[in-house]
Amino acid sequence: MIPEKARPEWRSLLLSDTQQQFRFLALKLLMNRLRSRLRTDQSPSTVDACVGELHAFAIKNERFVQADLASIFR
Amino acid sequence: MNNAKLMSTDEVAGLLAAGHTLLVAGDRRALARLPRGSWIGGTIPYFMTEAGGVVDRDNVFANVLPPDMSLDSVRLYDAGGLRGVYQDGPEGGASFIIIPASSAPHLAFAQEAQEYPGFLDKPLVGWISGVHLEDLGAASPAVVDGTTGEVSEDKAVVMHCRLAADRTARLDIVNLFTQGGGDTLTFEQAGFSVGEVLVNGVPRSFASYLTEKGIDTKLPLVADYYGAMINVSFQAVDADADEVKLYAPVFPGVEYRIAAPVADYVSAFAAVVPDEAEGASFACNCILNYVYGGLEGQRTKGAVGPVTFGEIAYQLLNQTFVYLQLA
Repeated sequence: MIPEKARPEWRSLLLSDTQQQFRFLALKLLMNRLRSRLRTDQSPSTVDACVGELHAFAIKNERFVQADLASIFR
Repeated sequence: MNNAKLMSTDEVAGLLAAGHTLLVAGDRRALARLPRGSWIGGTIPYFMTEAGGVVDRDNVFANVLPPDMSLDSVRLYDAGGLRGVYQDGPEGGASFIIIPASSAPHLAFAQEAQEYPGFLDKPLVGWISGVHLEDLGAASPAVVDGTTGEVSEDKAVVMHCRLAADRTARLDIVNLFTQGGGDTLTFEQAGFSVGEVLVNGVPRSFASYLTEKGIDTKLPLVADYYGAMINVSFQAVDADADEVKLYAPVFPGVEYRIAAPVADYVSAFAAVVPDEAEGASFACNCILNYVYGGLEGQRTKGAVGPVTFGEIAYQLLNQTFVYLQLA
């Protein structure tokens, strides 16, 4: 079960200075892309869009991201 | 991997006649002997086989699509059309792509794939086709749409595939290189060709930096993408022109370091490659690993496939082993 999009951990994951180490290749590449976008624009609308993209990706790839998300959503 | 091996073109023709769908790598003249059918191919005469790394201009390396994977469509893409590659395949499927080295689609994909609509929505795996290293500059890499027989030096060929409803495809990489302990290198512009680098934030000539530091350019630049080590390999350092040419683009905002040395590629690879890679539906490894790692005649723990001028796992990679498995 993927945590709800409203959970603050999604936002923290994208904005934190700490870089998590993930297992699922596509998640690693997505995180890099979203963080690159947020490096130059952290407006509320951009952050919301990135959270939405990350959450949608997690739902679509639930089987593969469970292990990576387990360490974040305790 | 029992669905993939080096074989004669007659054997490949037999598999096509029997209704199999294939991914084929081989020398251009060998590929030209294959009949039309359900296959795509790319030029390269280097392969990792069960017996070890080989150069073979006569036989070809063929991957038979596994039973739970079936052909949806084959398309050729020019550089602009590639933008739609992630959206063209069937939902829940996977796609195989081969792009001729140094072609417009190669350059476009390298720099823009991460911004393509649907990027990461489904596995996109493949390679950059090449030529025998003795033929560099004299022969051109190409791809083949086996369904029509069309050979192209300036388009990418893509095979979009469906998957059985209860199966998923997972794409992963094995990269022996990690970031070394040296300077942090960043770049203000994306590109395959670099003049200036920021060394720990201080701008200077990249060519001069590499020369003065005595950097071994067989070691790639490495960026850490949340645990994925992503390489950018060196093609040439031209001190006179003050230019460094790369096999993949660097990107602004990404922190690179020169890779830590790998003492022995074969043993290091065997130590880290997961067992699942041996049963992969598709795999490929880089020509630079083949050459620098001395892989000719060496086995890489049952990991077989074409040896390529660039690897694709969602995006372009360098000096990396790529594999796709069904789960």
